[in-house]
Amino acid sequence: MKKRHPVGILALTLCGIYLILPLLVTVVYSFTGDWSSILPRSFTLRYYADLFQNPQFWSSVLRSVIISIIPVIITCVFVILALYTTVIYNPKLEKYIEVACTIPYTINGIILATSVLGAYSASQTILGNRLFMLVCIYCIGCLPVTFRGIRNNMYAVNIRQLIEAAEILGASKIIAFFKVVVPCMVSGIMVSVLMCMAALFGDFAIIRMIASTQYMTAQSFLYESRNSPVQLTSAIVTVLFLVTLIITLSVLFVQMRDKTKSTALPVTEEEE
Amino acid sequence: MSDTAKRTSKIKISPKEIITQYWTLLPFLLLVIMFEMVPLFSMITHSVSKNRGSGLTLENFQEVFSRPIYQTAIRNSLSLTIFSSVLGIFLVFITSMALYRTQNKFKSVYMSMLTLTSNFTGIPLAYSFITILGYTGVFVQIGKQIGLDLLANFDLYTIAGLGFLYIYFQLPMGTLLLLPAFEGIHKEWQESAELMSASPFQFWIKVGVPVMMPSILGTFTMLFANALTAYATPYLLTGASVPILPIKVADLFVGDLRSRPELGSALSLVLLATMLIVIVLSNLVKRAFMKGEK
Repeated sequence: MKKRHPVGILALTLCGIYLILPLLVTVVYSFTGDWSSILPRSFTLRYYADLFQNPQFWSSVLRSVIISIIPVIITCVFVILALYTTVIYNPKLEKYIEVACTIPYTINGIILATSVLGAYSASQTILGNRLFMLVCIYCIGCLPVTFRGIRNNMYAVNIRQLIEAAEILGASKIIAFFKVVVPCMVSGIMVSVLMCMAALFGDFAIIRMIASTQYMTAQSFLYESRNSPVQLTSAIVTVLFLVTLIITLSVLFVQMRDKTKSTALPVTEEEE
Repeated sequence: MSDTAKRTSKIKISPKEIITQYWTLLPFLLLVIMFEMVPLFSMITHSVSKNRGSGLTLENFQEVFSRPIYQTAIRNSLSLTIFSSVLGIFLVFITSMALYRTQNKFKSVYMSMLTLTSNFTGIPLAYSFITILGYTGVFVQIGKQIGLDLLANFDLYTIAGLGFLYIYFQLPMGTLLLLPAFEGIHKEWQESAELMSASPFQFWIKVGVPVMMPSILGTFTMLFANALTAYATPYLLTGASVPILPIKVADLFVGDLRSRPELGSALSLVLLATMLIVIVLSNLVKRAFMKGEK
């Protein structure tokens, strides 16, 4: 019994318009030659041509992609390794790992970046290296979502039985874990991996604090273009949005496929 | 197993076994200690140390609370955050309730749209709003042409403009977080309330909202934290003209002026403390509501 309420429909319509309109206008604007009255006067692909011929743009996008993939992979490996110990040998430790992984919800973005900068900016060791700092800060930032994703999936695949079965067949615990359990979780973990990637791809605050001069990402490139024509910035926004769109669509695709494929436990993303 | 057996079994674990069992924890521990614990600790010690020389002091905090620029920043940050999260949670509730009642197909399309726009934040979002509502923005131009003053005189580069923009990134995130909580409202409750001739409004005020309160508060704290630490969007839009806490904190570390990490750490802690206060308060209220359930 699901009734449609006019107020509800109105709310959804208004919310939809508010969310879609800025995006839509920006995309259309990037194709216009001149838009100073109600409707655009002319259309052009000039700004895309300019943008695509700029090698700086491509290198900054490439840097963004690299820096949003590496930390996510590192975090996944570290969290899976840590949860291996807790699941197999010492389940009591899991709650401490959970606390460590939940802290970045509160100490996020600018607070995390300033605290790391305060601690290590004067260090002569690798800790003082800005790129190393950046990767590690991103790793910490990925912890909450990665931990939730991995832990929920570990319980969904019934890890203990799998390992016992593999041990009966003569595999050691660690081999059983990485050859049997981890491959079962890959598609489940994909969702959290992609979500983290999308978030890192959009980061500007941390990159500006830590490595704005050494490592120019697409977001910094966009920021530096603030004195360019609005069409050009709109074109950059459109391209960056397309990248995020691809990542988000992959999330939806993975979720859809999992839903039809199995009736495993639903992965609930609850906060805190 | 008797107590002695337990004890001997504990002693039996050799150092080698400890290593084989626990080495996989090491990388994670190292990361968390070096980039979560140590920095947090150093932020606290920095905030109470003197600008030059050694010794403990509270003068950094004194400066934070007495200099007008930081007072304004704290005030701006608080009003922006409270405005956008209170109005935000209200809009989020209405939107997710309406969405919960729609058919599955429409719901999944709408949710995809929300997921998509929830990633549209930071610098690109700021540019997008400049394109539509900046000084020469499309809608401002249209407002001027058709004589609609509300649009023609819209000033994005003020605290009110920022508030309007903050709602943009609060709505999709909040709705996606709160939507699952509506599953907890059983249809039978609604039907029995109807039988007792309660209006839908009465049902939600007396039953629905209280039952959902823990989720609502959880979503609220996420919105609050999200708005309080927002940096990129206001940095590009208003920069120095509307001082807010995250921008001031960043300026003290990497700004054009001489960097002052001690003062920056103190200001950063104020930001963190504000967030913690809200989290603790919401947990207290949450607990009160959970007690009622039992």
